[in-house]
Amino acid sequence: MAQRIDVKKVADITIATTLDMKLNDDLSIQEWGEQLVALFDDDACKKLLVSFERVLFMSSSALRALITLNKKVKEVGAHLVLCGIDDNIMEAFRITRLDGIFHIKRNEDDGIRAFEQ
Amino acid sequence: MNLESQNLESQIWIWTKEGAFSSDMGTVHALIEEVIGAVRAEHWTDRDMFALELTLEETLTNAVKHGNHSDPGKRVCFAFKLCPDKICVRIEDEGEGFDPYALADPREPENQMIPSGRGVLLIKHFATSVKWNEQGNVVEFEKYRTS
Repeated sequence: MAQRIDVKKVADITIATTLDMKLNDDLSIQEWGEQLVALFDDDACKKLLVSFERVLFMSSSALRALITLNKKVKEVGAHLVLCGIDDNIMEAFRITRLDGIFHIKRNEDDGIRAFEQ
Repeated sequence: MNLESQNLESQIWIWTKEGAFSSDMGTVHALIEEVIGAVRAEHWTDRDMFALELTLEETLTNAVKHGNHSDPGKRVCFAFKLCPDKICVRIEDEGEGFDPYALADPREPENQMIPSGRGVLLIKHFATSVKWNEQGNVVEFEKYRTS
């Protein structure tokens, strides 16, 4: 399985940076979603920041994977923040009103601060 | 030939492509790359390119996965016609079709956590115009260059 996220820790926050520039093919989306969900195998993972700073394109299949991730977040009682979303992709979030479901910040620093509020 | 057809045929197309392929997502992405390459040569904006690519992605994915259920024995027919300021796209699958106006609205609170249903919403937003035939197995859309 190819590595789809780069993971680091800042204090108690797990930061997962999406590595693919395009999230549109089934295999990469499936692996990306599975690798994000697997972060919760570690019980200590309660704050997850997913960065999209490298991503330039996302299909509705990737949005679907995010909704699945959000369900997992709620199951384990964790908190999820998204950051670094390109303006074009952000328009897709707004049209589908997913911007009202997800906590979205402009960049990684703002995302980290969001957990402190 | 009706008036609409005459207008279409009187356009000066700078690039056209039509054909058919067996239901396979690998072919979908190769085809999208080819179309995007042709349109990018006309210097469309990044926003227009994103809108076109997403509309192609969603319509072709619908044809392969939801129309033909990824059955390699079923084919997807396509036609692309590009002039400098717009592209016309026609995609037909061999499925039973669907009613794009009867889908549950994923923006409604009760549907927001349902994973599916957002592709058609994105198509309607990012295409300049879009229409399906009565059966719902043929989609035609236009995307205009905005600047």
